[in-house]
Amino acid sequence: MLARLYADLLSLRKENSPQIFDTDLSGNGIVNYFPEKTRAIDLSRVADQVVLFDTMLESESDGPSPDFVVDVSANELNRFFQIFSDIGFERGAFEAKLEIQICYIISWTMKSLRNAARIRDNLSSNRFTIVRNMAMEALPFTPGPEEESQVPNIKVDLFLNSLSPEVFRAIDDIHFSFATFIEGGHSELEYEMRAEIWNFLEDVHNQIRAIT
Amino acid sequence: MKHTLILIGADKGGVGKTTTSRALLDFLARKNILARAFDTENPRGTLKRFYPRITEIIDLDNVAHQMKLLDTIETSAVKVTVVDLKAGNLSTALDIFSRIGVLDAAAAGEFNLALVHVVGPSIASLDEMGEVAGYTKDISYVVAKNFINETNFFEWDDRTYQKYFAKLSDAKEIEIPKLNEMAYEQVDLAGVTFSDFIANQNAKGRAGKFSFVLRGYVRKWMADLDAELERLNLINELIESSRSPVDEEGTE
Repeated sequence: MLARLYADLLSLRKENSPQIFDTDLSGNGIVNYFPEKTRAIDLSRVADQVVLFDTMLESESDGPSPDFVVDVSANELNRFFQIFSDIGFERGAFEAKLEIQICYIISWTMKSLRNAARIRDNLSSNRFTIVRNMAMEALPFTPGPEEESQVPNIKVDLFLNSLSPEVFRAIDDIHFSFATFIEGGHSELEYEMRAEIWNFLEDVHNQIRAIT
Repeated sequence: MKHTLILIGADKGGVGKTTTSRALLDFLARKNILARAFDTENPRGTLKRFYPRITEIIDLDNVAHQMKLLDTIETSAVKVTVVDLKAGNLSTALDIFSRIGVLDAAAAGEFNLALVHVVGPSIASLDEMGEVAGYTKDISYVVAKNFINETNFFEWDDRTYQKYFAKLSDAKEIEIPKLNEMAYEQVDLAGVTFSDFIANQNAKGRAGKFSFVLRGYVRKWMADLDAELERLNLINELIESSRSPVDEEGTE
């Protein structure tokens, strides 16, 4: 949902933007919402890695700079950041004047927190945003006494607040677009639902502004 | 600085011998160590394609060519010579060098001699080590396990490997790490050195259009390989010698 949100917000900023890459090959990811703008990337194939990373760097030097959203599925996370590190993408992005914003959604488990800390500590970029998605009914994590000292120091930068089941279902629909909603569309939704979505978007927008 | 002659060979073809030679020449260049190379893959010379300015193609069976390589060791201003031995020619080459006194001269300290023996994941490759053992007593012998062309190397029984390796006295072991096939092929296609590929420089010395991802993979591979090479005394001595501003005669 966060990738969709970014993609929609960016599309309101620039025409024909952003280009979207989806590492979820099941066909159930962000491609459903942006079929025209999304390219599926199989990270196990070097040819696809070239498409993903080279496209982002080359576009910067070839004219108007588009935005990119890369939706990295959970099962590809480690591979993605391994490649990211191996090829020195941060340095390449810096040289190409490509700004990187990494949003890492934690699931509030020890494994997730450790993974977030490991990835954050391997990056030289400070544009690493820890996201807690309450909209998805995340389970609370309470470390046991023996685990307490091992919990990484993680500060959540962005909270996606919880949504009512009706609103969640509405925005999960593949025909729903945050951009369309912001531009006055989706008038079929009830007033209360619209208000809840507005509150949600306003809250997220303010948090994003605060961290960028 | 005493001359160093580095032979790179294997009796089995396709184990990455020329790639190892290229990687070594790249490494030496990055460390500002001047080197010259001889490619015995006569008449084709794959190494020459990547290092045309410093590589000569020779036929080791030809006496005039042997002289071109060996008689210039003392007089050459370039103090490191890398010889890429033709595939399947290692034992023959060592036999030639033995018969004409090269191994004895090295043992007598006239110059440093090293053999980098590139081995693949087969018993045949391990058998080669036993075959060349008779020649390697007084020289620096390096066994380079090549992971470049295959993902899974040396997965056989460790005891079997040790059985072969234990026969070798003073042998050093390094690993040539795996390089992604697509990256390898792109460098090959470009016909440039690994360093130039990383620097995005084509064969004409102009800005290339090489993939950032593939350059990144080659950069990572080179860094891993550097770490392997720097484990060798021979290489560290060369680096130290190249840093010294004063030569053996004490003149600057």
